[in-house]
Amino acid sequence: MIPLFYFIILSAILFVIGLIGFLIRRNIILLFMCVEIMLNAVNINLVAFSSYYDSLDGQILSIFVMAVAAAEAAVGFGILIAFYRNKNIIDSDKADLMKW
Amino acid sequence: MRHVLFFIFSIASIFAALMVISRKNVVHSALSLVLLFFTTSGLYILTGAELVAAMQIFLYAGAIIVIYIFVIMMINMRKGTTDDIENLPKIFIIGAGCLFFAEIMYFLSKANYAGMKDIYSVEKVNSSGGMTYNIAKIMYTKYLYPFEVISLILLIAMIGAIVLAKKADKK
Repeated sequence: MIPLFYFIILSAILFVIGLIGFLIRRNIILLFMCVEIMLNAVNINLVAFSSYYDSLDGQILSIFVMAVAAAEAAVGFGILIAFYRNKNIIDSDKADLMKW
Repeated sequence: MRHVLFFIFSIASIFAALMVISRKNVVHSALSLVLLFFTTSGLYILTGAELVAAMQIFLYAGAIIVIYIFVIMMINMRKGTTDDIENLPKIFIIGAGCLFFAEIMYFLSKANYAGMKDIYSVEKVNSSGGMTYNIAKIMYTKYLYPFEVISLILLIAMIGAIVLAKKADKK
């Protein structure tokens, strides 16, 4: 058996990479990709814990996470296409319609 | 052998994630994301979660990446974006990320992982119909209500995406 802590370290590294990418990039499509990286890190954690505690709940939760990721991608790209059609930009810093 | 495979898959997935956040061209990022999904699927196989691994490939590498590529092809990248941070240097953000990682590691090293063992060990799962059968059994009994909620979420997301992406009708 691979130690559980290896999986936890790997998932923490992937989560932090996704977080850094979310903060340093401005392209909205890349921000969605970074969210996918973070959700993948969470899924790795869930599946590893589920296999270490001889339980199947973690795998079911990871399937739910995948479904929510699919819904998020669909709605997010709907919003992105509507935004691009109106403003002609995909830069997250230039989206200032609701800025105070 | 399993350790070697784990290290190959984990190094490949970290490399793919770094490629995703560092490439200038968004198509290269999307292709690196495919590599990340495949290596993650290999990690799931190593833990014995074959159904989740298959769904990872079907759903992420099959369906979600297609949406990404479609949207990338629909949008003119050259015109819309200048992908550079001006007001805050990148090194601060990377330092903050490393600090966050150190914080996670500190608290995880203090955590107590002695949890309750459930009844679904590998031998029992394999002798009673396999992983997919057992997951389906739990999903349609214990997790029936969240399952229905997820189906509703997907329906609402589908309708919302269609409404949002529809062209506004000209008066």
